[in-house]
Amino acid sequence: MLSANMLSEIFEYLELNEIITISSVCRKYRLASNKPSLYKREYIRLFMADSEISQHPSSEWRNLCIRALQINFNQLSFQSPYLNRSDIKFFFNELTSTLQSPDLVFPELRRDYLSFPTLIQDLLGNPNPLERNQYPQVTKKFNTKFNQIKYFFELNPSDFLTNFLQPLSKMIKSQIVNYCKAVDLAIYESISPIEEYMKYWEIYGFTIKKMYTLLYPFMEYFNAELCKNMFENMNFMKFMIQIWIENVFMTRREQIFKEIERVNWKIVEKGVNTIGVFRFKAFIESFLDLSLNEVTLHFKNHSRLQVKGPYRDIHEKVVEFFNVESTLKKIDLDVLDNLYLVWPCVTYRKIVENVINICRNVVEKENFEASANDGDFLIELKAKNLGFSLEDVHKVDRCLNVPIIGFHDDLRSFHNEKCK
Amino acid sequence: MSEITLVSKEGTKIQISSQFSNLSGFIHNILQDYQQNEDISLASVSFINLQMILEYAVHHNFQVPQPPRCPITSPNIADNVSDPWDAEFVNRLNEDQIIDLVTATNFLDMKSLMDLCLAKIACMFKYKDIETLRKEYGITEEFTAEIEEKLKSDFPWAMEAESND
Repeated sequence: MLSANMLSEIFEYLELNEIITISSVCRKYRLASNKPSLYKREYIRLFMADSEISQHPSSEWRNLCIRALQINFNQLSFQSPYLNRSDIKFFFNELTSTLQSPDLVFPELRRDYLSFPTLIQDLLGNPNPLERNQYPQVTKKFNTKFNQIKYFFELNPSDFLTNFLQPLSKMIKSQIVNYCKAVDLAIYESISPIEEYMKYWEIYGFTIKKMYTLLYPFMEYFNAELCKNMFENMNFMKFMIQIWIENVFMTRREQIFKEIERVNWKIVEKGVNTIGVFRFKAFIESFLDLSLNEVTLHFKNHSRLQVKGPYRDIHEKVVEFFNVESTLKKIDLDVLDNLYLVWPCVTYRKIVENVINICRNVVEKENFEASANDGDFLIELKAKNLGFSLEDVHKVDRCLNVPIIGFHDDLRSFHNEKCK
Repeated sequence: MSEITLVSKEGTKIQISSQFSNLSGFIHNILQDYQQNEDISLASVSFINLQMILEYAVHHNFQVPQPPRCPITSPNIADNVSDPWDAEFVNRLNEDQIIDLVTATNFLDMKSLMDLCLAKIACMFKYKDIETLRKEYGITEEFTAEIEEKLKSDFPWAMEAESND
């Protein structure tokens, strides 16, 4: 007679489908098949890149596995007049295998580093034909099919949307959401969460690029559909990023902030080595990716960086941390420049006061007409912290001629003077 | 020290190379405080199992062999192990003997042989549907018809997974 413990050990040698099947044999088998490590191992084996299995796995892995199998099952049952079952299987296999084992090129080489510092900017900046050439075999198969589908779309657009595009979008979304939940769990259970976070973000970014390329012939329909039904100005990339933010970033937020604080202390203690800088810079870049908006495309040499979301939150934390005179004196600004990409708002009241006064003069002198600029948060944040009125902040925001680069220079010389 | 004496639960003594500690965590720990010519009592291991364990250990020259494939890819154990002798070894045993051997290897903390036995049992489960497993293991229905239906609707691939590939 097999004991429940022995059964659990035996199930280690079975595949996910078989474990699920066996769990329906009887209560004892069901109990024995409930071992979280079984599901974590199988989920990772089937759907994710190798993860560090370091901490006691959560029972949530079982639900993720079941959900993943359900999604696979639904995908295979998906009936469409446009794509047959093998096409659907091909597409989702491509999605799964990319998430599971991407052809990870060294990230820095993958990007056009001189022009675009982040992955998503790279995707925006390097239009699809270049990307498509990276996966000639896959895109060849799909493009032929997609061209036929485009023809169907022209014949009957509403049928195309209802019977093809919407269910396909839902399936992609459900698979990606489930994957992101698993990533979140893997990060949570890892002993080096930030490394895990970065690894999975690189894979995810790569997958976004690849899916974008594969689905390119449909992108305009996809984007129009998303925009119409979900959010304004939504597109495929933003949609994918939003899923990541909701399911990974937001739940790991505190952990990430803690890590940033740890690095900040290292900066103060001058304990950041070259490798550390390199890795952390990539980490910060990933948040720029998440904070994407159209303006960030022009980020390179763009002094009035406009970003939202995670990057802004992180920036606030950095400002908060370094906004102490004793800390500021100790730091190396070059290291900060390197790590945080934009010069963090490490300022003193006096400097901000000066800049805002300059802005006031410019506004008054030139009778500057307000523009619909969202604002330069570098100044906005600090000004708010220092008790300036919103009106002052807006004046600065609206003034296109404010010498922001000069502002940074002022800060630097002020800092250097202080540190002498 | 070249040889140690193991005593089965029936009291039968067997002499074996101390290198056996490479395969058994239990023996490895015992040998830390071992006095020459001291008997090592294995109260949970029968003489028959001990003989099989030693046969396995001698075949592998007291070195840990490559583990079976995990998860297994075929219901035939020979396809899942690198040494065909291992497959022949476990195929000689019936299910009760394998379970006994698992218990003995668990006592001896002998992971390599235990893994082989577990993989062999897993092969007996491989590719079998719910009804076959219930019949083979004499399991009477424990789920109500409602639960059964719910399981089928929750896990449709349990019935249909094979046809999808």
